[in-house]
Amino acid sequence: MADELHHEIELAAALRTTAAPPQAWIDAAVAIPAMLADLEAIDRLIASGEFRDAFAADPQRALQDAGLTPTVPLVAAVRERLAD
Amino acid sequence: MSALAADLADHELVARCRAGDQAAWEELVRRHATMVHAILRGAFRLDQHAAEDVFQDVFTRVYLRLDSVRDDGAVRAWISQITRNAALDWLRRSKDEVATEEVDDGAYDEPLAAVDQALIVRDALTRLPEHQQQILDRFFARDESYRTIAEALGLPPGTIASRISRALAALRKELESDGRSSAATTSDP
Repeated sequence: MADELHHEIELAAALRTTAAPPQAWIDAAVAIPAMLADLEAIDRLIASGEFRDAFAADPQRALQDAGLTPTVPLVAAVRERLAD
Repeated sequence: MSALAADLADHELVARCRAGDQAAWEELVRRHATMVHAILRGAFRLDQHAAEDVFQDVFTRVYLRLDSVRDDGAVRAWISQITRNAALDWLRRSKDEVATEEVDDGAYDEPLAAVDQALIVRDALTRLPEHQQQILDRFFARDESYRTIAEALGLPPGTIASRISRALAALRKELESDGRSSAATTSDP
């Protein structure tokens, strides 16, 4: 009986750990290709040494100063391109 | 979501994503979202706000690296590794900001293994009848009350406890039929 209860508690914990993420997170991830449609613009941006220095110091500020909205995917994309 | 994309294997989805198929991308995200979320929240214990940011970071990396998948048959493991690296990067950046100790990669091995086991349980859940999946997910994962579950599923409130018990027994049986029951519910070797 105690074993069974313990087992069921573990199953319940496993289901809690693997709850689905909020739908808004999924919707935002689904929209990533559209948000990064212009990868060439990102490449033009990171060709500038001044931008690279500014991004290293403060990614959000650097993107704002470049006239872009510093979304998580955009910041991540710039990091990816810089790492290439 | 495209019904066609939902029927594709991971490697076929990746091939379609590379060709710019948005429905395939949507399916790829939906298929692996729970795993990514479980790693970020369950293994790395990121708070909701941090996990949301890293979740977007992970799928950005996945999207930009689609051409670099070496083994199309191991997409799940590839995304899992990207998730782990993105979480560690986030932790390192956070530590830099508050000037604390180094992030120890190995510290997450055990919780990551526990999440792997939890995902086996979740996978077994998907093989149960829909009504049993619903009742277990609502009660354990979404913390809904008996009353809320009864209203949502159109069931008498007095039957919810016994239905949960039967669904748990069915889940245990499903895991045992895989020979995975003990491994799936303990992280001990």
